[in-house]
Amino acid sequence: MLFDATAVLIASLTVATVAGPAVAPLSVPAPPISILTTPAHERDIDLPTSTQQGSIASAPATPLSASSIATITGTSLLHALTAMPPTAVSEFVESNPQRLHELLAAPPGAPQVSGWWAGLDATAKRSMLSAMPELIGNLDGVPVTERNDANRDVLRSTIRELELEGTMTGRTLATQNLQRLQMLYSIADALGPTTANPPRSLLQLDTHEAGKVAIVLGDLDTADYVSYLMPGMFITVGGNVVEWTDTAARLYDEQVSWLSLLADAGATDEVETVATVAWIGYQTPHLLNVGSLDLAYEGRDAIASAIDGLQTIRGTDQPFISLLAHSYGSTAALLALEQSTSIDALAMIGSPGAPATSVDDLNVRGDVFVGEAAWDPIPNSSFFGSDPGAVEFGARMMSVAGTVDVITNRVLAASTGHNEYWSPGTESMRNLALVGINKGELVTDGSQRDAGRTLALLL
Amino acid sequence: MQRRLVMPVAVAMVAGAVAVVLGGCAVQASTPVTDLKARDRLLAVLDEAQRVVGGEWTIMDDPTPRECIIPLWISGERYPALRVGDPPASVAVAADLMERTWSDAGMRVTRTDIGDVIEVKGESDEGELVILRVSENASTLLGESECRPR
Repeated sequence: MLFDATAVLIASLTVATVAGPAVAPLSVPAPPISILTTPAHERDIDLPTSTQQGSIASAPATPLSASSIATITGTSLLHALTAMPPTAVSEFVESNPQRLHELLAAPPGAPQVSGWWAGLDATAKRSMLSAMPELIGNLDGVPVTERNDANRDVLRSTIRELELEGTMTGRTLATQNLQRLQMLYSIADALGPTTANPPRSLLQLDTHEAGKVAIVLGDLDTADYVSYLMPGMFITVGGNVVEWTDTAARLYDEQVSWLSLLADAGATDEVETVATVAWIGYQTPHLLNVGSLDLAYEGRDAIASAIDGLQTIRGTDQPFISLLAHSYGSTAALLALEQSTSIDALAMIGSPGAPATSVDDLNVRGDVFVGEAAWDPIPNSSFFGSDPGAVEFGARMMSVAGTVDVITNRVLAASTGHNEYWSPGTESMRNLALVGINKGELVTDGSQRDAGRTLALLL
Repeated sequence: MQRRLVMPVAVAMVAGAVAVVLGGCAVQASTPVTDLKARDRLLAVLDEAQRVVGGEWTIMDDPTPRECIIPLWISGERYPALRVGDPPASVAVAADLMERTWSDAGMRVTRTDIGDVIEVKGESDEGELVILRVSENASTLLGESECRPR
C-alpha cells in the first residue's frame, strides 16, 4: 500500500517535472500595466477608396450578398470582405464567426495573403484591422507590425470582455472563462513591458480553447538569423508561454553574445542581428494522445505556414532560418520538412522520430543536428518511425552531456532527462544558439574533434 | 507510532529527492529581499563592473523578468542584464580588478583565458550570476539576478 502510494507520488512528480513548473495560481493576478497602457489601435472605420478597389485584380466589383459570401473561401473571401462596407464586414464577422475560424484553419498561402494585403490602401487596411483583428493578426503573409497591432488589440479587448463579464454578472467567472482569462494574462506577462529589450511582437494569437501563440523577440523584418522554438508534449499556452518566451529570450542573449564575440574575433565584418520566436502554434499532445501523429500533422501545417509567412514578408532579403525542435515538436518539424517547407538548419532534441528515414528526405539547406540527453527515454525510441540519432539517418550529433567549452573554457552544465535541454548555461543551450546563427562548425559533438573547435579556426 | 511517522517522512524525502534530481533544481539559500531589490543589487554589481573596466557602455538590460522556481516549487522571477562596452585600456588589468572586486564581495570567481579574451565569472551563494568578458576589441557583461518570489 505504502509502496503503491510512493510509486504514484513519484510518478506524479516525474510527470509534473517533465511538464515543467506547475502553474496553478490561487487567484487571477491583475493584468500587467503594459498591455493596458499600450495605446489602443485606431478604430476609425472608413470605406475603401475607389482607387484601392481598382487595385485588387480579383476583388468583386460590387459587394457580394451574404448568401454569395457563404459559398466562397480563401483569398476570394478576403477580397469579398474587402469589397464590403466596414459596417457590413463587422456584422458578417459577428454573425458568422465560424467562417473566420474556417478561414484561419485553412488559410490562403502567404504569398496570396501578402498580395491581397499589399493591394489595400492605408484606409482599407485600418478598416480590416478594425473589423477583423483576429483574422488579420493570424494571417501569415501580413506584415509583422500590423499583426502585432491586431493581436494586441484582440488580447486587450478579450481580457476586458472577460473581466467585465465577471463584474457585470456579480458572480465569479465560470471556470472555463477563468482559465481563459488566466491564459491571456500569461500571454500579457510573456510580452513583457513596452520597454522590453529586445522588443516583443505578438505574431500569432488564438484565444480559444487551449490557445495558440507566437511571440517574436527582435525584428523579424530585418534579422539576419531567425530561430523558431518548436515545443513538444505538455507545453501549453496557459501553462508555459512565459517559460517558453523566457527560453527564447535566453537564446536571443546567447546568440547576440556569440555573434558579438565572433565578430570581435574578426570572423565577420559587422555584428549581425537575430530574432527568436517563442512559437506555440499548434496543440501539443498530452499523455493520452501523444501516441498519435494527428497533432504532429497539425503542427506540420502550422509551422509550414509560419515559415512561409516569414519567407514571404522578407522577399529578396531572406534570413538564415532555423528550427530548434523539442520532443514531439521535432516530429512535426520533420513532417513539415519532408514537404515543401525549406529552412537552413534544424536541431532536434529529445526526438521520438518521424516517418522520414534520412536527412536526405528533408528540405534543410544546412546541417541537421540531434541532441540526446542522459536519462531521456524519448530519443532512440523510434516511436514514430525513424531514429534521428541513428547513424543511418545522417544527422550530426550535438553534445548535450556537459563539458568544458573549448572556445571559452567555461564549464558547461549537462542536460539530464527530457526537459533540461533549454536550461541556461548548458552545453545544449550553447549548441542550439550556435546552430541558429549558422555556426555549426562550433557545435560540439562530444568527440575528440571538439578540441579543435576554437576561435582560431575562424580567424 | 514511531513507525507510522518515519515512513511518511521517508516517502516525502525520497519523493523530494527524485523531484529535485529530475527537475534539476539547484537548491539555493533564500534571502529576504524582494525580486526588485535583487534586480537592483545585480544592476549595482554591473554598474560597478562598468566603472572598474571603464570606457563607454551600451546598456541592453531587458526589464522583463524571467520565470524561475524556488525550491520547493515556489514561482519566482529573476532579471537579466546584457551590456556591451569599449575594450579596456588593459585587458589583464581590467580582469584582475574585476576578479578582486567580486572576490572581495564574497562571490565564487573563476577566471579563464580564451585566446585574446579573458572571462571572469562571479556567482553568489544566492544564485546571482555575473560574467565579464574583455578583449582588445570589446567588453561584455552578462548577468541574471537571484531568483525571488514575485
